[in-house]
Amino acid sequence: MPACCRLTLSNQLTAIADTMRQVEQFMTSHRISNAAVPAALLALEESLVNIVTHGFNDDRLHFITVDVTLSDKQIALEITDDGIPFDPISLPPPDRSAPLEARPIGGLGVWLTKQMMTDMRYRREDERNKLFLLKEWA
Amino acid sequence: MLEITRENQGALVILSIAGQLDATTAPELDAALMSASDAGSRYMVLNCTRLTYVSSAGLRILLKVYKQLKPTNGVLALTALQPHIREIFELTGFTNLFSIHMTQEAAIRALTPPTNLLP
Repeated sequence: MPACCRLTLSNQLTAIADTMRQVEQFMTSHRISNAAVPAALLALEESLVNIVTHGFNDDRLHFITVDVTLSDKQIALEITDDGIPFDPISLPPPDRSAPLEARPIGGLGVWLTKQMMTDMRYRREDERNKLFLLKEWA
Repeated sequence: MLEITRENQGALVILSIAGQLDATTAPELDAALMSASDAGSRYMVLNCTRLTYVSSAGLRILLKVYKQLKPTNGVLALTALQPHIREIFELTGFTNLFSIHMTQEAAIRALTPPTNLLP
C-alpha cells in the first residue's frame, strides 16, 4: 500500500531546508533507508532551488507543492508550481568535452538529477509546471 | 545544518564538516574556505567523514576554491567521502579536480613536503 504526503512551501530559498527535512523524515519513518533516499533528496533540492531561483518574474509570494509517494521499491516526487513555464528536461547537457573548471556551473543540478533518478518528466497543466521524479531500486 | 571546525597544522588548514552541504549551508563553507584562503592558506584539507549530503550548491563552492587556489599551486584535498557522496563526485568529474584520500592522515602526508626537500 503506497504511503503519500503533501508538503507546501513558499518560493523562498530558506523554506527548502525545512521541506527537505520533512521529506527525509517521511522516508525514514517508512523504513526507507537505502541509497535511494539521498538520490531523491538531491533531485528534490536541485529542482526546488531552480524553481525558487528562476521560476518567478514577480515579487509576489507563491506556493510550491511537493507530493511524495512511497511504495515497495519506489520513491515518486511530484513538484507543482505556478511559475513561468520551464521544462528542465529540455536543458542541453553540459559540454563534457570542456575541462570541468571551464564549464558554466549552471545546469549541473538538472544534469545531476537526470543521472540520479530513474525517470524525470515534465508537463504544463492548468497554468502550472509539474515535474515528476521517480527513483526505483531492485 | 552544517557544522564546520577549523584546525591549523603548520601551513595546513584542516576544515572538518559535519552534516549537509546544500543550498542553505553552502555559503557557510564558502565563508570558511575564503577566510582560510584570504589568510594566505594554500594547502587545505576538507575532512568529509561526517558529511552526509552534497548538492550542486556545495560542488559550486568547491569549484570556486579550486579556481582560486590553482594559480598559486594551492591544493584542496578531500578525505573520507561516503560512497553516495563519492558517486556524485565521480558523476560530475570532481574526482579529477581534487586530491581525494581515505583518511585525514593520508591527506596531511600527501600535502606535507618531506623535510629534506625544504629549502
